[in-house]
Amino acid sequence: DDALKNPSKGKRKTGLDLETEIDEQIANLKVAMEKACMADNEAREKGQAATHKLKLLPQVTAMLNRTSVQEYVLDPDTNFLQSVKFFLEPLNDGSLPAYNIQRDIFNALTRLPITKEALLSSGIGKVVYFYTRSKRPEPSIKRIAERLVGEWSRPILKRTDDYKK
Amino acid sequence: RPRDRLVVDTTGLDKDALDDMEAIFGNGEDYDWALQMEEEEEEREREEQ
Repeated sequence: DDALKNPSKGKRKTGLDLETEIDEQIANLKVAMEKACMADNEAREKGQAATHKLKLLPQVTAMLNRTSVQEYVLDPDTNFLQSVKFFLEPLNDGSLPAYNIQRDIFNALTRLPITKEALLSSGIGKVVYFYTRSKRPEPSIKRIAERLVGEWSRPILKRTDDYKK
Repeated sequence: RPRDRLVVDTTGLDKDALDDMEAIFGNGEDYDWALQMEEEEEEREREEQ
């Protein structure tokens, strides 16, 4: 009888349920990420260590590395990559986020099939380009940044090439 | 100081492609404030030595 009264109980989640759940997870994480960025800037202004982003980093990389949610992570409307951009940005005092943040996020970015639409809506290309210009990142990080700029610009450069032919 | 070039060669691009490149990677001024702070810090360090 109970099963009849509660038809959803014990059943597998429908596709729609799962979709809403992932959307919610990403939305919540985005809010937490923006808060962490602000908290870190405030900490630096007070001369304290910036630890908020670092604490959240495992959740961020887990989301980026979860192949099953990749389409949501890369969706230009969800725009999770914009929050990722905030994580990589220099802080108000000009310093870069912790090395672990740079390393884990840059490594995750190399594994994602990022589209032009996602690049345009997130602005993540701008901060990655900044890493190629700044002298502060470690050489290994700069190499990944240069590689990403090359990879992301290839389809655009190729289009011009095709056009000329 | 001379504007840094993109790490990719953009010469010979059509206007649409150039617009796309700028929309995606910025016009080179987006984080100029941070690069400027970096330079000032380096100068201070040089002076202290």
